[in-house]
Parts: sequence; structure tokens; C-alpha cells
Amino acid sequence: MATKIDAGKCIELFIQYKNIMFTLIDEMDQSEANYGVNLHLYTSECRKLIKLLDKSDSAEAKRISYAFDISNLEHNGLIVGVDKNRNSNKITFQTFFIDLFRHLDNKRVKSLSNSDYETIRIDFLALLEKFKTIPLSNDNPEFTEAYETLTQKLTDTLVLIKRNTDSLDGSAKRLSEFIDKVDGKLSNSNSNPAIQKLEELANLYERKVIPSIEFLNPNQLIEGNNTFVRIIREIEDLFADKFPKLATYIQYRHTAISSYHKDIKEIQRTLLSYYKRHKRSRDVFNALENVFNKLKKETYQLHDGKMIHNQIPLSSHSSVIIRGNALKGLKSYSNSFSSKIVWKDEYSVSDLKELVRVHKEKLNQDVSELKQTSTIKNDDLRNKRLKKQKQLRIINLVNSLNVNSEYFDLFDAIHSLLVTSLDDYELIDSIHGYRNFIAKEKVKNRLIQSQDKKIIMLSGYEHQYWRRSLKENKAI
Amino acid sequence: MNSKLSTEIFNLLMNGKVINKNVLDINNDQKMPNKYFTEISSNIDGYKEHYFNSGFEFVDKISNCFFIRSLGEDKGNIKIASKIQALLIVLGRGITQDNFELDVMFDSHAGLTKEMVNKINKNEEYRTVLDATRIESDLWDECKKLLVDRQIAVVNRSGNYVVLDAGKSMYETLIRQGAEEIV
Repeated sequence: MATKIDAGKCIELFIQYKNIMFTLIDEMDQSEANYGVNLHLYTSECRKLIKLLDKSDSAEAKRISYAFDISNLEHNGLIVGVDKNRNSNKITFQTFFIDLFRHLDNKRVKSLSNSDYETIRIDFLALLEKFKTIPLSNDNPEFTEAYETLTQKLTDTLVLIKRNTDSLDGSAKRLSEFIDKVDGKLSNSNSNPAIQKLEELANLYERKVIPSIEFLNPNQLIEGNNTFVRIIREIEDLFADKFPKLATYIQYRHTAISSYHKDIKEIQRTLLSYYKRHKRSRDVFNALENVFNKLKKETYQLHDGKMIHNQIPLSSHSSVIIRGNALKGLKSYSNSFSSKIVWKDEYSVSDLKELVRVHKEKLNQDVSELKQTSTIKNDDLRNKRLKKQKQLRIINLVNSLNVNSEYFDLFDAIHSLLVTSLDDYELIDSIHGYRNFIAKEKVKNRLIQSQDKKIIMLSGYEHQYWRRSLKENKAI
Repeated sequence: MNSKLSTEIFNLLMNGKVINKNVLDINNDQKMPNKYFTEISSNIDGYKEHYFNSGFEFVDKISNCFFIRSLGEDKGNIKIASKIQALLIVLGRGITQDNFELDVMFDSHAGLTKEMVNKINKNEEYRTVLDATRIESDLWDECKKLLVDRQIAVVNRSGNYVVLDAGKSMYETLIRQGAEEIV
């Protein structure tokens, strides 16, 4: 039989390692379960803690494993039941036990919901009805009993409202802090977790804060439905004549309860900007979804075969991409060229370079003529120009080679051609020519790399390369 | 009318660009007033008349931006405008569905990242819609052609596309349209 640890020690350990219970309470609140906790989560959290403690203090780890064991919790009456059914898989703690941890952290205090408020209201309504039907006299035991119930209910309500206010305040702070923190990092993140928190915040605002404000609103009209405030006022009025002291006591309690209205209003103000922001983004989301769905519908309707290439016809004026389009008639790009320049395929790059060079030279000449000051000879520019001219000559020579023929050593063929054609030939010229030649589309696919290492020597320089041959173009 | 600015404005408008109220300061990604917009705003009637006499309508109906169209083209040329509208719808839907707020697109320090756009482009549903609206397969490039080249958006220092006033106004119209139909 496993070692048992008594309830007091067990609770003490739970308080010491309260993060487990906080995690469980958070999960419970998220799934809106009442005191029911996911069994898997509980066991995995316990295991994590035991594993962690085992490294430093194995005795403590053992104690925890005994104390937090489910049979031990059952033995000490800390849990009401365990449902190991695969679908539910819940462990239900005693209400006081969960509430104890909620009180340890303000943020986790459970706030009141609409149904809680309704229960309070109905309780007070029942008391009012009772006071209306029984004789109001101290001699009447029914009256004294009902009055005692009333005072007890007022005290309970005051406690509940106080706790609710603390809880709302804690939740509002926690959410707004998180959103502000995430917003600061927005531009660097890949997704926006703030949206999820805004959703939570909107829920808090709509489902908790607004009902609390309405429930406690002291500025309600005298006439109307039986709200909590009106019921209390009516009870006060009933007692006012015969029991002024009792009426004053009820009034004090009522004022104490209503005073939280101000605090909740303050929470509402804090949340309002976030709530508005969320509402706006939700409206934007819905509107865009609506527009997109219309566009999608139009797109899928195209599959009936009537449309060309499944494209929405521009004649469809009701289309979402045309109707209300403010940019209708936006100009096309204007073509800067009056006529298109047709480049010869083979020489296009060198021709364009030459054209730009001539144009730049002309521009320089224009400037120098205009200013009439430039008399300095720019040797660098001249050299550059000569170099370009030479490159153009090389390209023209290389282009004269038949691209469809077969070459055993392509580099050597180019070298032989250039060495005989150029007066100021250098080895680098063959490299330029070779690169230009092998870049041609027709040549690229027919090159065959060999393992033959070749060396060409010329005026003290040498060029080493792996021989590449060119297959004959059989497609011709 | 400032002749230097009006020449530059002419070149922009004739090239199918829009003129936004604000532009981006390339040094710090802050939004700053557009000198062309200010120039036009101070002589709007003059500009309208000038372009009217040249056969163009000077459009000032979209808030915070100007552009021109050939007279009578409001019922005619819709090809570019429809592509832009479709692209904005898909981008807007894509990023809001990915849990981003639409304002990310207008934030000069954030903007649309290549990653976001590529993610949208990989979505089969969005791609079908884009195909039906003549938007080609490279969505990032299409954003450049349709939005950046027409100055509906601009590239910030991080290389992201930031949608400017013209795009924002189009979104406002689309959102109004969408919201009306929900009601």
C-alpha cells in the first residue's frame, strides 16, 4: 500500500508548489469547466515537478509523488472524483481547494457571470416577496428568520462583488500588459498573438464587465423591472417606517455593494480602448471576408465553361473587382520610345554597349563644347574606349566562327583565330572571346568537358585550362 | 503653379502613377507630406483645367490621392484598376486571416513582408482567385508592378511593401462595401 500523507501536509505542499494548481486553473478557466481539471495535464505537470526535484532533492521528490498521488488526494478528500473515461478524463477537486488557489493569485479569482448575477437577483427577489407577504414584526419568527437570511445574503453578495472586482481588475491588467508587450514586438513577429488576447479581452469586456456594471448601476430609474438595485431599494422602503435602523443597515450594505460600480467603471475605461480596437479589427476582418467571398464566388462560377481562360470578364460590371472601383480608367504606362528597337540576337549586348558608349561620348562632347573649357586629354577615357573597341572586335571575330560545327578544343580554336586576326593580341582576349562564345544558347548544350589539361604560352604568360570540345549540331 | 513641380507631377501622372498625400522618408521610414500632393492641393482647379484641356480627367475623388484618366475612361479602361482591386482584396483577406491586423500594411515600419505574400500565394484558394483576375504567378513581383510601380505602395528600408494613402482609401471603400452587405 502506498504511503499516505495527511491532508494538512498535502495542502501545504500544493501551496508550496502552487504553479501546478495555477496551470490547472488556467486550463480550467479556458475550457470553462467547473472545478474539473484535465487528468492528463495534472499527471504530466506532477511528473515534470517530480523530475525537476529529483535532480536536487530526491526525498522531496518522493514526498511530492506520494502527496500528489490521486489515491492520496482521494484519501484526504481533496478531490470529489476521478473520471478516467477517455472522452472526459477529468479530475474534480473540492471547490474550497480550487478557490483557495484562486485567492492566492488575484488574477485567477473567478469573476461572476450573468448566471451568478441572476442567482443573486432571484434570491433577493424571493426575500422581497416573502417580506411582502408576512407581517413585519419582531415577534414574528418568520420575519426574524427572513431578515437574518437577508443580512447574510447582503454580506455574501458584498464579498462576491469585491472578489469579482479584484478578479476583473487582475484579468484586465494581465491581458492589457500582454497585448502592449506583444504590440511592441509586432513588426518583428511572424504572427500576432495579441489578436488572440484581444479576443479574450473582448470576451471579458462583453461577458463580465458589462453585466457587472449593469448589475450594480446605482443610477437606475425608480420604475422598471426587478433589478437587484430596485429589489434592495424596495426592501429598504418596506422597512423604512417600522424599522428605520434596519432600513439604514440595509442601505449601508447596499451602498457598500454599489460602491464597486465605480471600480468596475474604471476597469471598463481601461479595457474600452482595447475593446474598440478589437471590435474595429473584427469588423474589418468580417468586411474583408465578405468581399473576398463574393470574389471567390465569382471565380468559382467561371467553371461553367462560358468564360475565356476562367477569368472574370471585365465586362461584368457587377463584379466586386469592378463595381465601385475608384481607380477606374487609371492610365497605362506611357511608352517612352516612339518605336521599338530591334536588336540582332547575336550581337545585342555588344551593340547596346557600343550605342551607350557613343551616346555618352556625344554627351561629353556636347558638354565640353558648351563650356569650352575642357582642353585636358583624358588618357584613361581613351584607353577605356580603345579597350571597348577591342572587345567589340573580339566579339565580332568570335561570332564569325560557325556555331554548328564540331571543335575538338574550343579554346584553342578561338585562340588560333584571334592570334592571327588581332595585331595587339593578348591571352586575355581569348578568354573574353571564349566566354562570349560559350554563352550562346546553341553552344551551351553541346559542350563536352574532358580531363585533358592544356597549356597555352604567349609572350611570357601562360593559360592553363581543361579542354572542352563542341559537338556537331546534328539538328541542322 | 510651380513649373518645376508641375513638370515632375506631369511625368508621374502620365506614367500611370498616383500621387499620395504622404510618402516615406527613405532615411527613417517615417511618413512625411508629399510635396507633389501639397502643390496640387494648393492649385487643384488649375491642375484640373490644365489636364482637362489635354484630354484627361484629373481625379480627386479618392481621399488623400490624385491620378489622371483619359476623358470618358471611367467607364472604359478597367483592366489595371480591376487587377489592383483584386490584389488588395486577396492581400487584405490573407493577412487578416493570418491573425494580422490590416493596419500592418499601412505601418511604415512594418508593411507586407515577402514571407507573408508568398504564404498567400501558396494558398490554393487565393491563387484560384488571383488567376481569375489575371494576376500572374509571382505575387511578390505582381505587387511591385501593380502597387509599387504605381505608387499605391512603397518599399520601406526592410524591403517590405507599405501601402500608401491611395491603397488605404481603396481598402476603406472595400470595407464599407463589405460591411454594408453584412448588415
